[in-house]
Amino acid sequence: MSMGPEQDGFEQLRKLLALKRHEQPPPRYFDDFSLQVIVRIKAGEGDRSFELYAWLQRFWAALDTRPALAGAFGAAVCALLIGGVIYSESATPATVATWPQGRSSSDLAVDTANRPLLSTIEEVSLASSTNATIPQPLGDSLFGSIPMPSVTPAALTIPLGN
Amino acid sequence: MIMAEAARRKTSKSLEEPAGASGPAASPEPAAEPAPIEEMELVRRARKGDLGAYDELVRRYQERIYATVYHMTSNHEDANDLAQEAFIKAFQALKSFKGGSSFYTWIYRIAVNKTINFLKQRKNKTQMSLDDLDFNAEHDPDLVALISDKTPRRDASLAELQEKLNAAMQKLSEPHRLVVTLHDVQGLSHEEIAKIMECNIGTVRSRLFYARQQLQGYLSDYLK
Repeated sequence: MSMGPEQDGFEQLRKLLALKRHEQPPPRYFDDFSLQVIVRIKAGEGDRSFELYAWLQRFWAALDTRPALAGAFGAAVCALLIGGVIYSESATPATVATWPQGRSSSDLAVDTANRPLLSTIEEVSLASSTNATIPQPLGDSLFGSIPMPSVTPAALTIPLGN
Repeated sequence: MIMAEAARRKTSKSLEEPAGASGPAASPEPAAEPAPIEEMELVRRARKGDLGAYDELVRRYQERIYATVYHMTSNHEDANDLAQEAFIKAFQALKSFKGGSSFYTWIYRIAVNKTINFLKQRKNKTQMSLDDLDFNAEHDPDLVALISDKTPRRDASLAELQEKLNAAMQKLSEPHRLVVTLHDVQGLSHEEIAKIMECNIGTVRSRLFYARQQLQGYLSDYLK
């Protein structure tokens, strides 16, 4: 079993195995290898934040070394961004005030001008209030006897006269 | 085979002088080897919790440890995880390191055991994720001679050869793959391998012989 390398009949195989010496990890892979080990030692195994950090490290390394993956990731991010912009533009707000059909905003201005100021303010304030109020138990407070104001939802009523 | 010879010359030194085994990231030029006393000093400091000293130890052996694990798994991501975990485990177990062997042998042993356990668990679920070949691969005369002249694209041919070679390696049992990796790829001596695997030299030699025979059969199309 102490044959020399040339005599044992495996010289060709050894040359082929030499190919494995040319297999290299990604460039700069070892630059922060020891740092990662130290970080893991400090963080301790099983630490969630570390796991996320390690995952991000691996993901970044994968992007760094695989242009196809980096391209796909970039395309996915762009698609997501464009999709988000399109969606936000096409979506309508849930509550939009609608004018009565056949009436323009100038009609409303005329109506408002012809009405007493106070009633207009009351109507507007009632109509524009969107804050629901929850009646609070009065208890024994100093102001217990004072009735607390409450707002009830009111429909926008605009007189159709004139 | 200059690289292999250089590696062999280096690794034939005693274990107290850590060998510069060739591997994925090994340099063909002999690197300045650390003095054993300095290494023991680093170990002593690391044992007291000095992470700076341990960082230096990791830097010294990261390439060789990674290479060993990579050649065993044929998977970069697995090799990355296992190599890191080996160093973490070694740090945690530093207090139990008595100095009976060199730190180099000891860390190698941890990495190898961890890798073999991992491979046993993932049995039959081999998924290769191979490292790229370096620039010198296509200029290696031995490799060029192995590639068919009829192949129009040398890159493709080398990549195919790399894949076949790794697939053949994965067919070997873990102990046989380990011996081939340590000896024929990384250039460690039989004595060093025996210390790492905690077996006698005769076992190393017989495993190496058997593993080569197996590989020769698997790769007969590429060996004329």
